[in-house]
Amino acid sequence: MKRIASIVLGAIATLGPGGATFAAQHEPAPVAGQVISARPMSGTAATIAGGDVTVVAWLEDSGALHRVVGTVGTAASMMRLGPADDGIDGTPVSAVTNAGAVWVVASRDRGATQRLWAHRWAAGAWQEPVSGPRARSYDHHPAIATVRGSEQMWIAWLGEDGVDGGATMLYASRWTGSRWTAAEPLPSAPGIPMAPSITVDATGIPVVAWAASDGSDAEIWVSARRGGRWSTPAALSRNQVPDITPSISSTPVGLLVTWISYADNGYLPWAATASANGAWTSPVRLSESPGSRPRAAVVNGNPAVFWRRLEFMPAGGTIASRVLVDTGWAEPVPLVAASGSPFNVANALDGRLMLAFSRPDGRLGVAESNRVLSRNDLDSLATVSRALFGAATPGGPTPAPTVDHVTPIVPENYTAFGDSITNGVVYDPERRTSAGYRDPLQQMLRAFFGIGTVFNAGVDGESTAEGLGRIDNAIRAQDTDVVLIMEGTNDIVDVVDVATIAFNLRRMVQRSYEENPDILPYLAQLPPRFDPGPEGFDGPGNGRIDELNALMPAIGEQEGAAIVDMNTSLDGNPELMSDPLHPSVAGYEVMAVQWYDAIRPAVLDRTNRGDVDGSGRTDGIDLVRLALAFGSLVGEDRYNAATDINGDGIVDGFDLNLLIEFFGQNVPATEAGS
Amino acid sequence: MTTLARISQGDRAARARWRASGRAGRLLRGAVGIGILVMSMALPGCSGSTPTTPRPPTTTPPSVTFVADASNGGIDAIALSLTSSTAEAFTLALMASEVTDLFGYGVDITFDPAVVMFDTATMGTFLDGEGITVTTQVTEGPVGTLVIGQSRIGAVPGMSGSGTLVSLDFRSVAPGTSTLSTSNAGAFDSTGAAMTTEFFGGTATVPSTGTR
Repeated sequence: MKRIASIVLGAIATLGPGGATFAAQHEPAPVAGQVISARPMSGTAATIAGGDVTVVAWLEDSGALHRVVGTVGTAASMMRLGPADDGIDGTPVSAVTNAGAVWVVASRDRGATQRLWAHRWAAGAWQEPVSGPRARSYDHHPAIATVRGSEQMWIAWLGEDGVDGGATMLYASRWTGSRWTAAEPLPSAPGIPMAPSITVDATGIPVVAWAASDGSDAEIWVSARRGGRWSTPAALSRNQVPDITPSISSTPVGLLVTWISYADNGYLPWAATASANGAWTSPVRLSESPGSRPRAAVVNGNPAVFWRRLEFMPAGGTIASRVLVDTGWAEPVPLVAASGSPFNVANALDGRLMLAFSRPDGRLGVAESNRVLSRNDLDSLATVSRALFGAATPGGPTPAPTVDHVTPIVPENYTAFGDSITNGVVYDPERRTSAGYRDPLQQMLRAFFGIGTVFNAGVDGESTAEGLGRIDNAIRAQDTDVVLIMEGTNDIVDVVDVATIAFNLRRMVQRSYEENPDILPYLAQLPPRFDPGPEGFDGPGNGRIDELNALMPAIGEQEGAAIVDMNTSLDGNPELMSDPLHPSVAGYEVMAVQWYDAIRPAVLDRTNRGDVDGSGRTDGIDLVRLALAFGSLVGEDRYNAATDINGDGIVDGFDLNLLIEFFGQNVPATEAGS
Repeated sequence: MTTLARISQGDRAARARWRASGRAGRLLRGAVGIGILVMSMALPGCSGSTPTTPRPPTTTPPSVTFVADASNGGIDAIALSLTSSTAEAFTLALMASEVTDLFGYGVDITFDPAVVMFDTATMGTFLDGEGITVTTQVTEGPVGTLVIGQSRIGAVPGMSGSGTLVSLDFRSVAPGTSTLSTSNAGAFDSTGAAMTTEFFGGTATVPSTGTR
């Protein structure tokens, strides 16, 4: 009997003739008296062979400290994992050993050091946590894989010295059953390595896949440990665009690596396989639609890839999958039920599948099979899930009556685009989604220009690779005049290299223009990361944030985007931060002022600056002209379009204020009478 | 009424931004300009609607003198005239004289900043009759040029007769003579038609004991 006792969202009944059941989706249950967040930042799940125990672990986004919480589904087993000291945990990973133990591994940042830790569920209880292997001052972003038929486990991670210290390298170590072997550096591939993925093949050989950036673009590399030595890295991608976020899995027919690679319409999922002799096939593009966070897995003995198919708000994406049958990839299957991002896809040793994912409401969802899944099961899951979650209401809402609409001269629609900071996440003291900078900015815009609606297009946890896949939709959906781009913080957390982040931000600006040639794009330099304790604003990540921010002026100049400094005003002001990543309400208000100060000049440039008669100067004659038309609506005899400075169809106090703003000033000829 | 409220709100916001931007200090020093938007009401310090005839300085120390190009403004005129004077400061009134249906006007007044400097402006009462909102803008830019605009607002009639449009306070800078010339001038009636109104300036003389 399974020991999952968490909230069941919906049990999916028998799915067609095959009789397979994809079991209930559920989430970790909150327990009274325990500080358990129901809003994980990221998570992992694993199922022990035989289906007796499912372990779920997730990163608790609790404000000042991010800590890993684990559970086997019962209230009694839900607890914080890792050593009993303070620090900030990273995203956990999990794996199951042959004997039915589940390992959860993560990193903990204690300021001066960042160490790996491992926590094991075995013999019906959480065992004492153990320290992970050590290589450098900052060891982080682990990946683990267990060795079939043993209690051994391999771990790969990133190590570096000092705060954002140079020479970041990849390391690997093996858990012998009682201790970690010495950290082994992997051979360098060109560029800086990013978060690795590891698997152990059927013969017990560990294989690591990672992305490395040489400063211009990133490629996917793999290395295997044969004969006690790590092989020279082999490149799976060779092109001039970023290839990032690889995931590797051992399958019955060989190795499988999946990753995303940039294309004109965003990042697309790719995959390559290797047979038992180690020869890699040419990479195959799995989808023509943008995707992210691909995960390699096994379905019914066949290689399979799950990824987040990027869609527009509010869902933010659904999980899609493709299965490799013989030599051909089956058509993609959208798993609507698991809408959100796949955190991990884990295969139990008996071949069943466990999927941890972020739900559209931001909570951690877990879907698991009660037996080995076949491809037909995936088809059925998609079908039933649609029914479970409901289809769109036929006809939709009653459309609003059509009214004549004057196209304003000053921007009307602002799209605030980004991650949870744009979405307004704040801790005061509990986590909630506030109006962020959006409402204060909208108030300032309307107070001065009389027009301006700031739409929220912020998606929690989103990376720039994901944002790039939906920015065109976001711009189109709101008929956007001004786009405010602020993204990259999650990339920094996930150690995506700065060059790739900059590349993605540059493409976001380019795509904004492609969608609307008249758009005003603004690109925000990232706010600082604030860590509790003595490091404050000098903690991990800030060096890379500064490095990225330093690249933005050039991007802005080359691509035609205004750069907005969101870092300086927050840096060194703890009261403006509510957690390591998110501003406080006061911080968001500061951000709003930064946006407004940057926006206002460009918006004013779109007006005639009050030079109603086009004389080249805003003066008393213009004032009288405006006063004569004051209060008139478009279409009325008194209406004078040149005096309707904001172009909203009425000559009013906002127009008068705009004229007053420039009273007595010369107006460049190119702007007069615009 | 709604429109008026929006104006007030926008004006307050503009003033708040003004203060926030640090320009308030310059406004207090009076060297830049003012923006006034009021309903019809008596303003402290405003003279009535009767033109004042300038008198030659007879006191000691000698006051700034002003010779108007058109001392009485004539008919259908807008002209500068002296309303008060000391050795260190003087006030000129921009007077409307026997105008008909004056809705608003714009004019530049240039002067020699080496001799006199603009201090502040105070709205007169002539245009704000019958409870009508009036907007007045006076700003110095560039130095030595006052850009002035004043108008009733909306679909309302203009004002007829004579009276003070705006009072301009100057301070002495150095002994000498400065012409105060009008340019870029135009007056409009309530239909928006340009009026034949003439604009007149004058000449101010700062005595040798009047510098600061």
